[in-house]
Amino acid sequence: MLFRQAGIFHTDYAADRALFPIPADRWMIVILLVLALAAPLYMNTLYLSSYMLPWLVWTAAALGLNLILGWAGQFHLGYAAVMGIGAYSAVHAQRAGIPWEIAIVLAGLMAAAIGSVFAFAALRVKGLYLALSTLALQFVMDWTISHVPAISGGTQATLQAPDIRLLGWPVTSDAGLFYVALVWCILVTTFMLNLRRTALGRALVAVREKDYAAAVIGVNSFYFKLVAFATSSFIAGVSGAVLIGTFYHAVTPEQFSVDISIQALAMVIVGGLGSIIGSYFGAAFILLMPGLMNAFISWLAAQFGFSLGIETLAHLPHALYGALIIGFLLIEPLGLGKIYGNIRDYLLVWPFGYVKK
Amino acid sequence: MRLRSILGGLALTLVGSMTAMAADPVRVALCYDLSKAYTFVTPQIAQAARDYADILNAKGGLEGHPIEVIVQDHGNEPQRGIECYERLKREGVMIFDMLSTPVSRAVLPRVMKDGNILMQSLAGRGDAIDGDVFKWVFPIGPTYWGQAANDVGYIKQKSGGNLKGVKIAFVYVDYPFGQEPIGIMKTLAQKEGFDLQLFPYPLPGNDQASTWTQIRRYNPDWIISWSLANMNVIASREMKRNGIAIDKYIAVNWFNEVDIKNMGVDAAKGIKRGTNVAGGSSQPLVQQILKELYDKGKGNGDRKHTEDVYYNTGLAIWSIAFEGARLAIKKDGWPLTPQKIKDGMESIKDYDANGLMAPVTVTAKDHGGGGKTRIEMWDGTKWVPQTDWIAAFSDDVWGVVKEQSAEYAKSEAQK
Amino acid sequence: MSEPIAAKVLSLNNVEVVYDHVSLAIKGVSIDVPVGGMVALLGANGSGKSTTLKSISGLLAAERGEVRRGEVQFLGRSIGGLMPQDRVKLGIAHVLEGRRVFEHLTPDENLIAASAVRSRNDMARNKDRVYSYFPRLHERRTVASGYLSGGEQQMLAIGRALMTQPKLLMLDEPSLGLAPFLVAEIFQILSRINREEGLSVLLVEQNAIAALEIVSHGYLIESGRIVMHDAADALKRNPDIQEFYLGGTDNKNFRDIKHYRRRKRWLT
Repeated sequence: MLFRQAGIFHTDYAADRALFPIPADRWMIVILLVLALAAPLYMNTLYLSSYMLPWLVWTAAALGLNLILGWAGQFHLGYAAVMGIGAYSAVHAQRAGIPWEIAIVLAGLMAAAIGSVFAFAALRVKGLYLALSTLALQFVMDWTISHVPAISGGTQATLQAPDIRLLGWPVTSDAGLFYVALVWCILVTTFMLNLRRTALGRALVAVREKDYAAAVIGVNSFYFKLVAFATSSFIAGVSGAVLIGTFYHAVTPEQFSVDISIQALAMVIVGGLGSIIGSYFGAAFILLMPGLMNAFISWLAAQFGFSLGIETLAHLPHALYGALIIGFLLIEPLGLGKIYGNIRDYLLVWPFGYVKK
Repeated sequence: MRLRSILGGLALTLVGSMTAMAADPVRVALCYDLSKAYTFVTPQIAQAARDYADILNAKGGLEGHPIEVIVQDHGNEPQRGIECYERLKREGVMIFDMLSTPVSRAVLPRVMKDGNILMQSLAGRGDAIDGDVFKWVFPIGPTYWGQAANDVGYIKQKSGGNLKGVKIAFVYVDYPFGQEPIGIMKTLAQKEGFDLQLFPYPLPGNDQASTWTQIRRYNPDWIISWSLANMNVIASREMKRNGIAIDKYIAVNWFNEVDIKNMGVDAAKGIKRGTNVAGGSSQPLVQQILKELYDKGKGNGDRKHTEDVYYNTGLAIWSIAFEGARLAIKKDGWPLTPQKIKDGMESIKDYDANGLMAPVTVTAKDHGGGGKTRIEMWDGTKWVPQTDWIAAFSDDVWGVVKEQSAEYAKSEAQK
Repeated sequence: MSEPIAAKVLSLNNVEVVYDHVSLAIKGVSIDVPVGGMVALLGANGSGKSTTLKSISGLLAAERGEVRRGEVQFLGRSIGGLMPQDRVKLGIAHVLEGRRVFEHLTPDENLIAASAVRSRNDMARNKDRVYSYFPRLHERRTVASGYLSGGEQQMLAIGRALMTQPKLLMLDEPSLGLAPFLVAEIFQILSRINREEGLSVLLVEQNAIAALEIVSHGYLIESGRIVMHDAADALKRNPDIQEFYLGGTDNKNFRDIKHYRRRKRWLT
């Protein structure tokens, strides 16, 4: 079988604690990386620019939300607003003549700053109360953007984003933009993979599992929640800036509205809380499935020659998409990432049915 | 990855009107929000586009080339709108309409970069009527600034040519759509000396109670309202409660017969709206469509939709687009290019689709086609025009347009 | 090893439980509880005692576990596909480890809440019965349960289980965290209930000394397998049991544990 645990013996701690202790995983990562790097060679520009690129950026964003939701176990219903802070900061910085590389870091810092200031107040409450106060962040941001022309760029509420330049080179081709998104996504993924092995990661999980139990072993839960918010806000801010720079090329409030916050939440939940591969699946599912469903229904209609009204044709995919989400969550409440995990576990212990743990 | 490309490669599109004709078709893309926020208008408009395309195709299409109308849902999500644009652009479509402000804004940078035609009537950036800056965008019809100015123009007529001391309340839903006319209203108030007060109410517009109490205290002579569809109905209820006469109320163009029905046809008597198309199915073009398609059971949807003013709005938008494409083929011949269509559009002169709308003249500078509207009043059974097609204060409107488009031009130059 | 010949209220047949699709918890577990009998399931931490109980009361799903193989029979009927609440209706009562009383309800309300599966007429009678076994609960019936002491909460948990008029009472470590004299008191009450009402009891315990005092039979579970089964007296005499579960006789070297492992294999 592809994955095989049998016969793998680690002789030192470093090997045992490697990110991917199983060779099959390492090979898969290498193959996927090569496939991703070579994507512009074999993939037509439509898929590259309209599917792959937003998927990668959204995956990075979903990973950031997963840090808060999956690792630290804190609700966040205003995630898109934080992405918006980053997006607007980056565009304004760029328009002020700051190079893009620095502008996106500023965007991340700005988002982290505002996110933490907000979290400072919001984190005094827990659970549903926290969810509601993060929702408040969303509404405050929406209002600020649509009522402060200096931020939104006048009554049109649209700011054109200058083209991206990296080290002075303009990046405008589909392939170039794709690589920018890819690099950001890989960076965030690597960070998240390593997070599990850091003191921060363990503290976050401790806080999630039982915050008072964490407190009695000396983990300052408030501090770590704050750090989690700041880090996740940083990722959100940069992701927002990258999304604008590589995909939208103009920033408007609707791109970061409450709907988008819910969408990001759905990505994480459908993908699987705390699951990294799940964020990839979740982002793909939420982002690409409506379009695929559309295509599928239209194709069915064309194949079997039944004609549907314009409106039915538009609503049917949504219904089916909703049913799919519920279906997947019924099969595996821990999300798509866990479905992958189950298959992988099955292969790991094959030909046996289970392992003694 | 392979699975995705196979699935993605499946026909994404709903092919509207395909008649067996030898010549290559002129393809237009209606990437519309058919499932979320704009559903109160998109089905009628899409139906109108397909009906009118059928009518033209039956007569040989545009100079011998049939029209193919592609309708696709983007659910008001910028991401999916971009996907729709990118896909159809690669399939050779050159004329697009998004009919959603967020999606139009999101697609705009790509349209400007690629050089494709974006019809953007009644949605998206108003300053895009500036053809010098927005070469590829054709928001034919009035801007919201133009509509507001025309409303003020009408009030000026009614006040005997002098607005001094007239009290106008501007009530609007507090987000960019509603906020847009504030600038021009303030400019005009200063210039004409009328008294202006702003009355915002929050989204989603179901709760306007406190706003209307304030308006009652202000006791305005006229009320100009920037509300969408059912928000007007709620406003009418609040007006009744506060004892404000409904004939003071001038609505923006997003106000149709369904809303009138919800207000009560009698209760709505006297209410006014600004519009760039003549409403009702008595229009010659609508009559022709009913006779040639719906009477023969060939309509592209529910017959009831044809009574809706948004159906006429759809006819207006798409008759202009088709006319532009026709002129392009006639002038520069097949195959079409975006440049040829642009030239064709810019040579449209005094076109009114058989009396359906304000006569439209598009020039390289003015992509709005003149921005004329008229004020109509509901008399209990039908809409009665209160003015000719007018474009008031157009210098001031263009002042705002230029100011905003210059800002855009500046950011483009920075790239 | 003698098999009890009495009719069985519960019988587990070769049950195998796997958590999270791949993680084995118990394997080949077979346990019989005779009608009116009192049986103990002994074992160290993590040996699979609680998993066994959950496979009987149907609580595995919540922890992503499933019965992969084998059969759970209650009064001769296979109950594998039933939901937990349906098993309660049949007469299985499970007193959870760590008590889990409804802290914001008073003891009285806790008991009423537990009578949901029985008719209203029985409620008052059942409540009186519980209060007669646990007079202390009656004294404190109007305080929020969160304020009860650990022992009182344990009594309440048992009382709550009795409210469902069970045919089989399963207790998961009732002695956990209780003072020895309280343990003795609770165990006495348990054996009284067993004696007076003929209620069958399956007792999971780490406190083997106390447990073996009141049960007739005992099973020993190790690493998910039943390694020993005998009458309580016989178990008490067994040197291995004495050594590892009853506190031992002499001080032995830890190296000798290996002998036990060997013997254990031999036993199974």
